[in-house]
This record gives sequence, structure tokens and C-alpha cells, in this order.
Amino acid sequence: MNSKKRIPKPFRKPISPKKFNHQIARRIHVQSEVDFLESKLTQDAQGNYLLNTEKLGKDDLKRLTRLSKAIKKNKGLIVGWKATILVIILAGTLGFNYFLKNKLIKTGVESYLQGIFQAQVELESPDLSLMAGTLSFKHLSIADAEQPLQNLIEIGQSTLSIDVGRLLSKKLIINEASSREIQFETPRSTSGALSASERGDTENKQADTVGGENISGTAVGALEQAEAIGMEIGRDSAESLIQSYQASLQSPDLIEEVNARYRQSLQKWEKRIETVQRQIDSVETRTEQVLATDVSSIDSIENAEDYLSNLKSLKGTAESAGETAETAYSAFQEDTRYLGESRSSIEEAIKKDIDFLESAVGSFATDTLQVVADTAKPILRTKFDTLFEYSERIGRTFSQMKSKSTQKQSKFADRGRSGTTVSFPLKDYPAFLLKNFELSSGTASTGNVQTLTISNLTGDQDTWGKPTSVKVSSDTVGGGMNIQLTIDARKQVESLLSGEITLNSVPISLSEGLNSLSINSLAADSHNRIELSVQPDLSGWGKAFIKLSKLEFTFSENAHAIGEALRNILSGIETTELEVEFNFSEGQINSLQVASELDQKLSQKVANYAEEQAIVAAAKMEAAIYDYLEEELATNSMLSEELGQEGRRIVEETKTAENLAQLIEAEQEQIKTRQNKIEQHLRDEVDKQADTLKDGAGEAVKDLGETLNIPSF
Amino acid sequence: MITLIARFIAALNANSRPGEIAAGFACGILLALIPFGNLLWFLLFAVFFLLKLHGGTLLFTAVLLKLFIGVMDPLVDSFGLSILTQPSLTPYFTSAMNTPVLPLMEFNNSLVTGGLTLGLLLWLPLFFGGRIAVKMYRKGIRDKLVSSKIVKTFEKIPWIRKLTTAIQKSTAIYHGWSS
Repeated sequence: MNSKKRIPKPFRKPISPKKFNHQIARRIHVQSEVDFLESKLTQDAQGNYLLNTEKLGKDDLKRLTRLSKAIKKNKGLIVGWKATILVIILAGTLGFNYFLKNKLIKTGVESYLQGIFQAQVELESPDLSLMAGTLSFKHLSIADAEQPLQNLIEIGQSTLSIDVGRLLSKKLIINEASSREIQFETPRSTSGALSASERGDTENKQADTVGGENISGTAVGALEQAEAIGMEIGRDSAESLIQSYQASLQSPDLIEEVNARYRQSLQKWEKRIETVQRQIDSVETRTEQVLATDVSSIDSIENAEDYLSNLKSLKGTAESAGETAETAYSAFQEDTRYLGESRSSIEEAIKKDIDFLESAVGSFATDTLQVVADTAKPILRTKFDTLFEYSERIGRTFSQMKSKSTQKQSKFADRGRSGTTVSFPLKDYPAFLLKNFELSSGTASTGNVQTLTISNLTGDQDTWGKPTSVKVSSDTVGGGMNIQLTIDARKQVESLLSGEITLNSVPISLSEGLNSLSINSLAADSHNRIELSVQPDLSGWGKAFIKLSKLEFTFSENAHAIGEALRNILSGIETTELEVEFNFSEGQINSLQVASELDQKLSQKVANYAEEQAIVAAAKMEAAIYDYLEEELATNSMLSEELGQEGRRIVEETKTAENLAQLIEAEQEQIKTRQNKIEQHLRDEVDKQADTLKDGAGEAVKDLGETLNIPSF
Repeated sequence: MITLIARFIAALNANSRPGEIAAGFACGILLALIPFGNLLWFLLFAVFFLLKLHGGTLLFTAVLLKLFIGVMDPLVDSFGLSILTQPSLTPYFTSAMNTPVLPLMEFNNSLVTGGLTLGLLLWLPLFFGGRIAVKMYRKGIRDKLVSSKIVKTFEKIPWIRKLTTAIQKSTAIYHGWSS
């Protein structure tokens, strides 16, 4: 039995030929071992292999043991224990992920917040995904410790999503940070007061947390540091940044150096110029003295020579003073040339420094990240101990790999094997980017929702390529407000700020200043939309569209004519629209233009009113005219009658006249007849007389012819 | 290095599956072809670690070939470059380059892409070739080699003796070498 115990397990029982071929012989890859095994096995009547234990020596047993281990080892394609570890890790991760993680978060967050607020906290459906970098929950309510049937705050669906991959590049890209349906002081259906045991628990946990904070003193320090930086940046960001990066700036030192040089030069030149000035003054005085001498007063050769030598000496002094001044001037030019050059180098250094500070502003978020990382480090070290060390090592390896990918030679890299790096277009990300931020309070059911949305918030819009947009909306039962602003600080973009502000159903009420028009009050709903565009120099333009609806006027009872007219004109106007265009520069409006349809409406109303009034006036006038003409018409009828009588008389007279005329005519006929008779009588008498005469004259002529003996006679 | 050589020789002579040794050999060549120090290399190494292939052979082949891989670099470089500059593949490489983790694989390096592609293409021929070679070695060469005078002379050299001891520690089957 003892020897049987030592026989390796696969050979203890009879082995079927199939099993021997598939599970044993196939797994022995050395022929000598196959031969050895076959020599130790015998086959029974059924063909099963049996180990002949009688033939087995001590060495044979040892060899069989090793062989059985080798057979076991040559089984399968995957290493069992490695696969088991992997499966355990995967199963553990999945199990933790699906069953534990969110429960732990729920319990942790609720107990932590309960410790802070000393009241019930309910967190609904928390979800954390480390790989996706997402933390979200459906609902969070924190009860009021002083009024247990009321919530301090209620928060609806909230999400925080970070691009985990970009964190490897030290870039904080927040895809989404949103909290919706935030409400304060809402009623609770159950009491939010903590039970005595819960209070005890939370107090203990609070104490632990305080202890933990004491242990991680560095963490507190880092937090304070972060706060200090935040406050500093918030208070005076530009100055703080310049101070923090002063050591890296070139221009301050250069300016200081050049200024020192300026001061030195100034001192030197003040003295030197004074000396030259004195020298020239002295020469001038001497010259005046020499030239004041009267030449005619020189009466001897000696005096003349003295005078001449004086002149020569004076000339020499003057020439020397001139040379000194010229030399000084050349040196001065040299000095100023250097200072001029220094000025251009200062300008260059300032430009470089500005570029550097701009990049530093862009990397501010990176610095903040560093502070956050410093804060987290000691806490993580305390909590995870060795695991944290390992994660740090992995992190270091990643950074080394990253540094290699940015063309820096890593210590892991194969020496001498560089290859060719092909560049593919990369989308660059800014150091900090908040893609979408949303806060909303109130609920749609109450009809009162306020929403703030910020998109693409970053300090480096040029890299991200999109402007920052801000939306504020407030929807109330009666109306609402919408503000949409776009801030575009990218280079070569004209408009720094553009936006649209819409105010819906804003009630307007005026009760003063309209009395002179007999209007007591004016009420309306206004719908306003303002479009704005602001350039970097604070100049720009804007347009405001104002629509007034539900216009209501109340008029004073004893209105004058104008008031009455206004009442009639305005009473029919219920809506009107105004369009205001304005331009501004340096923050001040410098032109304003208002266009309104009110002019047209009023003109139309006035025209209608005037027409109505004209018709009324015409009717009144007609009636008045008829009243006025009634007497006159009576007179007229009377006169007309009188006139008729006169007419009749005239007719009679006429008839009389006609009769008379006929009489006269008859008389005239009579006279004419008489006249003709007389004329005939007379004519006859004349003819008689003429014939008589004629006869007498003929006789005389005949006598005369005969007298005168004229043949024709 | 001695341990690696010992483990390789021990595997050749022990009752290790020829496929394991051949897979270790093919994977070792793949790892040698890809430059070290990028995520792809570590990932492949992790996958190979999980599979049942002979680790000693893998490391021995990889380390040995690393010493001479420089000779093949011009070929690998031009091969990788021809893949990376394929216009039809450019969109895929660009989008992969813009993901957070994939650039850590440094696939935009011609040696990485060339090495990976060449290693994968050669993997099956190397595997089957290696298997045949191990079987042939075990059938015909091993015994002749063991009984040859050259080997016996070599055995007397101190570092070879050290190697032999290491092999003996590594193998549970082979007896002929030291006898």
C-alpha cells in the first residue's frame, strides 16, 4: 500500500487505451520517456494499461513523478494559474463595478453629508465610471436639520464627465458638468431628522475625518495653497501671474540694466558737459577782453608782439576747446547709439515675455491640476499604501512612454533604433476646457425654470477653435428671458462679444408724465430682443426689437380736445413694434436710430379720425346751412311772386305796346301812301314842266343852228 | 543571460511541447522586431505572458535577436513606412493618433508598424518551422550531439559547467547531458 501511495496519480488506476493515447502519450514529447513509460506498463485483457508496480524501483518512481508533472504541465493552451488570477481580477472588477461600487458611493456620500448637515441625505442612483471618467446621480436631497419636514436643497440629474485619456497629457477636459432641477427649501414627506444612532455614527466618522486630515497635513497645506492661488488669481490675476513667473522673464532685468546704464551716462555727461561749457566760457571771456583792445593805441613793436602772441594763444585755446567739445560729442553719440540698441533689445525681450506670459496663462489650469494632484497624493498614499506606490510607478512609466512619443529619448527605448516617425494631423487640446456646463433651478411642473449653460469655456480658444458661449434662460409662467452671448477671443476674429437678449412678456406700467395728454396710465406686455456685437476696442453695434402687446390706456374724464382725439386714436392700438439701432465706441453709445410702425399706425388712425370728423362736420354744416337759408327762401318766394306780378304787368304793357305799334305801323303806312301820292303828283307836274321847257329849248337851238349855219342841225 | 540560455536548452531537451517552444520563438522574434518601450510592446508581452508558451525561449530569442535586429532595420523601416504612407489607411491612423491611449503605442513610427506587421506575417511560418525543428532536434540531433567529443570537451570549460548545472536544475527529464 505504501508503494501504491507513492505512485503518481495518473498511473494508479488502469488507463484505457483512448485515455492513454489522448491524455498521456500525446503529452510526452521525448521518445526516451515514452519508451520508459511503455516499458513499465502492461495491458490487461480489456486492453487497459496497468503499471507494473513490482518492476518499479525508487528511481523509476521518481522519474514517473516527474513525468506525471510534465504531462500535467503540457495540458491546454493557457497557463492555469495565470488565467485564474486574471479571471479573479476580472470577476472582482466586474462584481465591484456592478454590485458594490455604486452602493459604496451612495453610503459614503450619504454618511459624509449627513455628518456635515446633521440631517437625512438621500442620494439616488449614483453611478461612477472610472474608465469613462463619469460621475452622475439622479437625485440628491439634503434635509434641513432645524426644520425636518423641509429640504435644504434638492438636486436633480447631475453629471460630471472628464476626459480621462487627456489627463495623461496633463490636460483637464471636462466634457460635461451639469446639475439640473436645483430647488431650495422644498417640503419633505418624511422627517429629515437623524435618529440618535445615526447621529452617533456620523459624529464618529466626522472625528475620523478630522483625524485623517491631521494625518495628511500636507494635503491641508496643498488645499490652502490651491485656495490661495485661486484667490490670488481671482483678485489680481495678471499681477499675480507676472510675479509668479518673474524669474522666467527677461525684460525686467534688461530694463533695470539699461536704466542703470542710462543713469551712469547721465551723471557722466552732466559733469563732462559742464567742463566743456566752462572751457568755452573762459575762451569767450578772454576773446572779448583781447578784442576790446584799441589797435591804434599800440605804439611799440613790443606791444604789438604781445598782442599778437595773445591772439595766437587765444586761437590755440579756442581750437583746443573746440576739439574737446567735438571729442565729447563723438563719445556722447557712441553712448546714445548703445542705449538706442538697448531699447530695441528691451522691446524684443518684452515681446518674448508677453508671449511667455500668454502661454503661462494657458497653462494655469495645468498648475491647478498639479495642486490638486499634490492634494490628493498624501490622502491616496494613506488609503492605498503599496497600491499607490505601484500606481505611481505605472504613472512614471506612462510619462516616460509619453516623453518618448514627444521625440524625447526614453531610457527604455532601443538604442540606435529610431525609425521614421510619420506625422498625422493632431487635434490639439487646451490645458483646460469645459465643454458643457449646465445649472438649472426649478422644475417644468412649477413653470419656473432658470438655466445657465456655458459651452467651450477655455483660456485658449485659438487651440480649441471654438468661441465660448453663455446662455441664461428664465422661463416663468407669464414670460421669460433668454440671453445668448458668444465670447470670441480668437485672433483675427472681429467681434469679441456678440449676443442676443430676449425678454418675453415683461409687463410695463406708466402712470406719470402722461397727464398733459389726458392719459392717466399706460400698461402693456413687452417682448424685447437685443442683438449686440462688441469689438475688442469696445466699439460695436446693437439692435433692439421691442414689441408691445396688450396695450391699455386709461384717460382722464374731463379731457380736452387733444385728449379726446388721443383717446379715439390710441384706444384701437393693441400692439406695436419698435426697432432701435445703435452704435457705440469706448463703451458709450454714439448713435441711435429708432424705427417704428407706430408712426404708420398713428397716421392711419389720425387719418381715419379726421375723415370721421370731416363727415360729421359736413353733415352739421349742411343742416346749419339749411336752417340759415329758410327765411331767405321765403323772401325769395315772395319776391318771386312779386316779380311774377310785375312780369304779368309787363306782359300786359307789352301787349299794349304791341297794339300801339300796330297802330303806329298802320299810321306809318298811311303816311307812306300819302307820301307816295304826293310824290307822284309832283313828279307828274315836273314832267309836264320839263316837256314844256324841252320843247321851247329845242326850238331855240334850232334857231341858233340855223343861225350859225351848222350842218348837223 | 546564462539562465536564459539554460532554460532554452533545457526546454529543447525536456518534455516541453514543441509548439510551446515554437510559439515562444515566434513571439520572441515579434517582440524583437518591435522597438522596446512603447505600449504595444508591453501589451504584447502581457498577452504572451498569459498564453502557454515557453517564456525562456521567448526571452532568449527576443534578447538574442535584439543584438542583431539593427541589420534588419532598413527593411523594417521601409516596410513600415510603406504601410504608414498608404493614403487609404491615413484616416484610420489619424483618428487613432487623436485618441488618448493609442498614440502611446507609437504606431506612427515605421519600425513599430513595420515590426508588428512583419512579425505577424512571419509568425505562422516561424511557429510551424520551429515545431518541426524541435521535433527533428529531439529525434535525430540531440543524442548525437550529446555523445559527440566536442560537447564533452566543452563540458570541461567552467562557464559551460555552470550552464550545465543550471540546465539540470531547470529540467526534470533529461539525463544524458551530464552523463
